[in-house]
Amino acid sequence: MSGARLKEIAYSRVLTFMIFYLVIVIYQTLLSELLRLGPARLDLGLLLLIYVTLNLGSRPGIVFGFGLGLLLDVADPIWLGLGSLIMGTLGYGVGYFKESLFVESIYSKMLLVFLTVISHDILRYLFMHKFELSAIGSVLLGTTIFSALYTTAVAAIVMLMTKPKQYQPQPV
Amino acid sequence: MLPVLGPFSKNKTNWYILVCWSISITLLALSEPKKDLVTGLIRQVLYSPFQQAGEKVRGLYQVHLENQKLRQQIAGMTVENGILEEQRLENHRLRQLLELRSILDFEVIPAEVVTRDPIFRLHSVHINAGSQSGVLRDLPVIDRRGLVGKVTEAFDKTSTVQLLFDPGFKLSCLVQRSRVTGIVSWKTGQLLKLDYVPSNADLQEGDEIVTSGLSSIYPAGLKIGRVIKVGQDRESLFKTVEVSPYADIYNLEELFVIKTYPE
Repeated sequence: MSGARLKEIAYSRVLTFMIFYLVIVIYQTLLSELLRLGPARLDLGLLLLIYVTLNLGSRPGIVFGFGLGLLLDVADPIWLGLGSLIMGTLGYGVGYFKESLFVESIYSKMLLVFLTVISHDILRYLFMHKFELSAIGSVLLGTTIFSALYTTAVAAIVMLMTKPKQYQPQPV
Repeated sequence: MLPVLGPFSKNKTNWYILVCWSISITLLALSEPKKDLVTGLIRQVLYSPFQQAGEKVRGLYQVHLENQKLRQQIAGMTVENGILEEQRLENHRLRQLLELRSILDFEVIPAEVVTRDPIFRLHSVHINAGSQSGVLRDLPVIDRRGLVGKVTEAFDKTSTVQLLFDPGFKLSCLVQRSRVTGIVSWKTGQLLKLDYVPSNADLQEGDEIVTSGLSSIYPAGLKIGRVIKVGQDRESLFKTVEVSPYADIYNLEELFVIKTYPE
């Protein structure tokens, strides 16, 4: 097997998805409770979904979101399919956001993360409570806002740490 | 492409989301046993190894915490045990002293050593009984084994006791068995010497040395020590006698000042 072929496999989307799924499984089983800050939880799955969609496009985002949703549905078997539905939809939404709007700046990406976490929780709540809106305010203020802020903050830190250095022309 | 979907069908991405929704809704529509079957399979294959590993790590961490807690408890109990052992020994000593006090016809003042002479460590000690307790200068001091020394200074609440190991300490004594008299003083280290014992005196190792009663300070018969070595120089008129004191001068704790004694 040639080096170019190995490189191709390494960069293939399937392998990337597998690695990300493994990271999610490890995070869910071992780390999620450790990284919880009071009511705020870090939504690593959504962060990876946004990363995949922004870097690979809408279709990989939908596929990745679908698989991710299925993986997370294991925790709540009664709602098997709901996670894949919402995550797939969010992958589609983030892809649409990327294609329609300018999301290159860190601030717009932070806004995207924040809105995605809020949207995920609202959609999940609406489906699980048959679109009953009476208690959605308490859910939003109880945990969702904090989780969205926490996840956005982590995303901002990661983006700042991995931000490529901008070229600055030397003065003549 | 389905013509009924119109422009929607032209975008390939829309088909992706359509398939995603279809499968998801089908999964949602599954009966509970079937959902359990699917999720159980995923859980067993993907989650179980990590959950088991997590439980093991958590278990180890719990053991580590418990170990730390137990170590702390052991440290505390060791200290407590040391204190209790010290109290047990003190209790034992005090019981012996009480027994001694009940046997003696003397009127004695109990006292504890509070400080030692920091420079000449074994020459004198301070006790926590003074003139307010009836302690006076030149009263003899004993412990539960034998003579220790005498009071040289009495303050209100404390007194200074000159020990047998003070180079200036001299005391008239006699060998209990043969009634041979001599003068006891410090020799070196933890030993006393018995001077002025004639070369023809009846003296042997193991003989007990007691106060002679010839002094105005010490009553007769107070135990001082035991003869451990008897020597004889050819040209000397006296024997050289080494005496090991009964009192543990290095480790004095509870003492008695003899206030009065029968003549």
